[in-house]
Order: sequence, then C-alpha cells, then structure tokens
Amino acid sequence: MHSRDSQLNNARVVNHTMTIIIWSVALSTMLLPLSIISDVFIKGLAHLNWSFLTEIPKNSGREGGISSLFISNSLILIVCLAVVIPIGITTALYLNERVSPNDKVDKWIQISLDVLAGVPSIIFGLFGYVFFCQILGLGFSILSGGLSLACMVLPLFIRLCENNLKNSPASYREAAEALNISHTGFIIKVLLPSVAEGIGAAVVVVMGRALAETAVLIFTAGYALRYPNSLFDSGRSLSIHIYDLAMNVPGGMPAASATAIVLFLLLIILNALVRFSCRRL
Amino acid sequence: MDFMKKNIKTLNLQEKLSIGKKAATLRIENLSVYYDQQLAVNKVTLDANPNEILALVGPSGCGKSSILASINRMNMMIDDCRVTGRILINSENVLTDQYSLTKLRQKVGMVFQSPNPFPMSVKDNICFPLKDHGLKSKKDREVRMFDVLQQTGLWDEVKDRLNQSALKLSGGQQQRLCIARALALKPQLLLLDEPCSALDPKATEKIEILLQELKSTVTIVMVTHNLAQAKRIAERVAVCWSFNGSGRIVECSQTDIVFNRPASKITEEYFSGVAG
Ligand SMILES: Nc1ncnc2c1ncn2[C@@H]1O[C@H](COP(=O)(O)OP(=O)(O)OP(=O)(O)O)[C@@H](O)[C@H]1O
Ligand SMILES: [Mg+2]
Repeated sequence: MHSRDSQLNNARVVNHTMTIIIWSVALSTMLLPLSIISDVFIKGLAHLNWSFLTEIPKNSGREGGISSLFISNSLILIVCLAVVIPIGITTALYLNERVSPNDKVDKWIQISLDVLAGVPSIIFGLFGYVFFCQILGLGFSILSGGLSLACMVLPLFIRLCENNLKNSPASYREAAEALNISHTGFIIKVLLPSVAEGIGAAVVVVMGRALAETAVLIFTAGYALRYPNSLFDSGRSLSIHIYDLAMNVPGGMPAASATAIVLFLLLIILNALVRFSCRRL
Repeated sequence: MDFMKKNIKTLNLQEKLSIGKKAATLRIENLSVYYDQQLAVNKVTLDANPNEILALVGPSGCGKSSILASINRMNMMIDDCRVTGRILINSENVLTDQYSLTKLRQKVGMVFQSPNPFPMSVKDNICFPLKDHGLKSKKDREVRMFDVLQQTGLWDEVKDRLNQSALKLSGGQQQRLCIARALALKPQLLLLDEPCSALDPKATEKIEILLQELKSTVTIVMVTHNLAQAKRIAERVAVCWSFNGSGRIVECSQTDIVFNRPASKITEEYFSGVAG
C-alpha cells in the first residue's frame, strides 16, 4: 500500500516537472517572435501616421512615406501570384491525376521540385537578372521581379497543392467513379472545391514568402522610389526598403520599423482575407 | 419552387415510364477475383431476379465487397486486380471491353458503406451528375431531383435546405441522398455495400423501408453484416464463406429456407454463431 502511494507521488512530481518544462519551452518559443514584434513596434509606432501611408519617400526614405512602394510591391505580388496560382494548381493536378506514383516522369518532377525548393533565393535573383532582365530584355522592372519571385515560390506552391490533393477523401473519387462522372467534371466540381481551403492556405504561405523576399528583388525589380507607370518600371518592395533604410541610410531606423509594422499588418490582413474567401467556397 | 406544381402532374407520367423500363436480371457465372496473385473470390455463381432484394452475407474478408465491385467494374480502378468469369446483366456480359463503362455505370447504381455525398449543395449532389451526363435542361434536372428526393422520402426533410451543403445533413439523410443520387441516373440494378453499418437503428429502418419500396423499379443486391436485416427485407440470401482465403458461395436460396432449413452445415453454424 505504502509503496503504491509513493509511486503515485513520484508520478505526480514527474508530471508537474514535465508540465513546467513544457510550458517554459512553449513560452520561450513565443517570447522570441513577441520580442521582435514589440521591438519593431516600439521603434516604429511613433513614426507611423496617415501621411506615412499616403506620401512617397523623401530624403532616401527618412521622411515622407511609402505609398509608391506599396503600389510597386502590390504589383510585384500580383504578377507573382498571377503566374504561380494557375501554373501551380495545374501542375499539381497533373502530378496527382495523370502521373502514377511509380512513373519515371513523376520521379524526376519530384526530385527537381525538391532541389528547386532548396535553392537559395539569391540564385533565383541572379537567374532572374540574367533571364528576365537581360535575355528577355525586361530590365529592372516590376515584371522581372514578379516573374523571378514566381520561379522561387512555384516549387513550394506545387508541393503544398499536391499534398492537399492527395488528402482529398478517396470516397469522393469512388462516388464519382460509380456515377461515371467525367474526369474534368470531377476535378472542377468535386476535387478542387474539396481542397479549396488548403489551397488558400498554400497561397497565404507563398504570399508570405514573396512579401518577405529581398535577395531576388534587389537583382530584378530594382530600387526606384517613385510611383511605377507600368509593369516595365522599376519599383522597390517594402522588404527592400526596410533593408535599405536599416543598412544604408543613417537615421533610417524609425522609418524602417514603421515600414515593418505596415508589412506585418499587411500579411495578417491578406492571410485573413484569403482564408475567409476560401472558406466561403 | 414553381417546377413543383407542374411536377405533380408529370409525376404520374414518369411513374408509368419507369414501369415500362424493367428492373435488371443479374447472373454471375464462375466469377473469380484476384488481387495480385492472391485469389480472393473463387468461381462464384450467383443470380438475382428482377425486382428482388438479394442479400449477400458472410464473415469479414470472404469477398462480398469484391463480388459487388466486380458487377459495376469498380475494382478495375485497383491496379493489380484481375477479374475473370462472366457477369450477365439482362443476358449481356458486362465484363467485356465491348460493354461500355458508361452504359454499365448508368445501368448499375452503387451505394457505399459510409455515406459519401459530394461537398456541394443537396440540390447539386443530384443535379451535377445529371448535368455531367448531358441532361441539358435545368428544368428536367430539377424535375428528376424532385422525383428521387420524393422517392427516398427526403423531400420533406430537405426542401427548405436544398442550397445548403449536403455535408450538414445527418448520416441517415446523407445515405438516403446517396441512394437518391444513384437513382437519379435511372439504374436497373442497385448495389449496396453495407449501407446501414454507419447508421443508428432509426435511420436503418428508414433505409430498409425505402429499399422495400425501391424494388418495384430496380433489382437490389445488398451486402450486409446484419443477419436480422437480411431476414427482414431480402427475398433471397446468398451466404459467402472463405476457404483458404478464397471466397465461395456456399448457399443461395429463398430467405426462409436459408434461415430455417439451410442446406449447408456452414450456414447453420454461421447463423447460430458457432462459426465465423
Ligand atoms: N484492394 C485490395 N488489394 C488487395 N487485397 C484486397 C483488396 N481488397 C480486398 N482484398 C482482399 O480480398 C479479400 C476479400 O475482401 P473483401 O473486401 O471483398 O471482403 P468482404 O467480404 O467485403 O469483407 P468485409 O465484410 O470486412 O467488408 C480479403 O482477403 C482482402 O484482404
Ligand atoms: Mg466489404
């Protein structure tokens, strides 16, 4: 009886210790992003006001705002997503619907996707510079930047979509098969809607990557601070602006932090929007 | 819904039409099913008469689902599955390449163990397959939807939520929707693989009543683990048994004969709970 009690006691002590350890680990992992965010907010909040959002940068960005960069960055993102979403979903569908798992084609596509997903972004920057800016003659432009970004995030997006498609319930396919539904009809009306939420989440991930990227864009979209007139104009992204203000502009830290806050809020808003619209499908 | 009023009149006409279209005769001859090299079903011979419910019973793994899935060639989706023998629907062998899959799947409806409505509205669950099959007129599709929802007793339960997601229905309602979806293509033979095993007794009873009504228009082959259910609704019962891993039919006759005076020792032991 006695030993049973002490065993129980031991178990309780171990239980409590583990609880404390797990909680502290969890807390410390949350502390890191929290401290980064609060640091940014403390440094940048004072600099943030309405005119910061509506004016173009002055004095290398120390003064004025970020409105032109916001437009440039939105255009870069739109170009990127306009390429990535259709190509990504079609490729994932091809891999999931047409290619059987043991096929040679499948194997090679999988390997190249894995390799591409692991390539450092600066390589995509150099590739984009050579291919889009020089060979295709697009120069430093929003178009070059968006297309290079698309090359960078496409492998990841395809992977995420493919995983979603694989996880779509097999019972839908069975039902469609038994009802002799056409393959196209099944894909459009059953398969894709059943994974819409997952594909929305994949779009969010890819958008986050694209908004955070600097290395690719430095080489392809350039630094220009003015409003872009077209997709063939150079335009600076918010993340490059942060980098430039923090590294190259003495006294640029408040503006850099304010820009970071805007970027951060933008990500949260986009995330919510995409998730909401996919749930409605 | 304005199509409803007109529809009451057309319903009688439709009923007459479907009486003209006879339920199918099914005959399975020497059916063997192999998965890879393993023989899962061994030379099974079995038949179902028009307008009857044939129940297929037997212990787990004896090949009931394999037999059922051979009838509408569903197991051809499985890579290493091979089917030999003949399956005659209205005296035509459906296991040949000449018999088109489109024709077969239209003639033979299938309902699965767990309800699997598509992730779309109740209405689209019925109308989308019809549209995919080329029924162009929206009104025709809606009339057909109304018919099958009436037939399955769902209309009153779902008429106010036709545009809601079918996944929000109860399990029993979903299963009846799946039956309605199959019926919308006007099959002559309906295959059901343990259609009630995921449902509670109340929902099960509704499906049993529905199947009793449906046999006036289709021939029904149903796999079930529930012997009492087979006894309640089936005209005839086939008992499947596994010999060294290969399923065979040990007995197939009128329900009361199988239950009261079984010809096979195995049937007797299985029903009394000694074997299986
Ligand atoms: N896709 C498959 N690949 C390989 N073997 C299979 C496959 N499907 C079924 N089998 C085998 O075929 C045999 C019969 O299976 P089947 O599913 O037809 O049995 P069942 O009578 O329907 O069983 P249950 O009552 O459990 O549903 C089993 O031995 C099973 O292991
Ligand atoms: Mg089974």
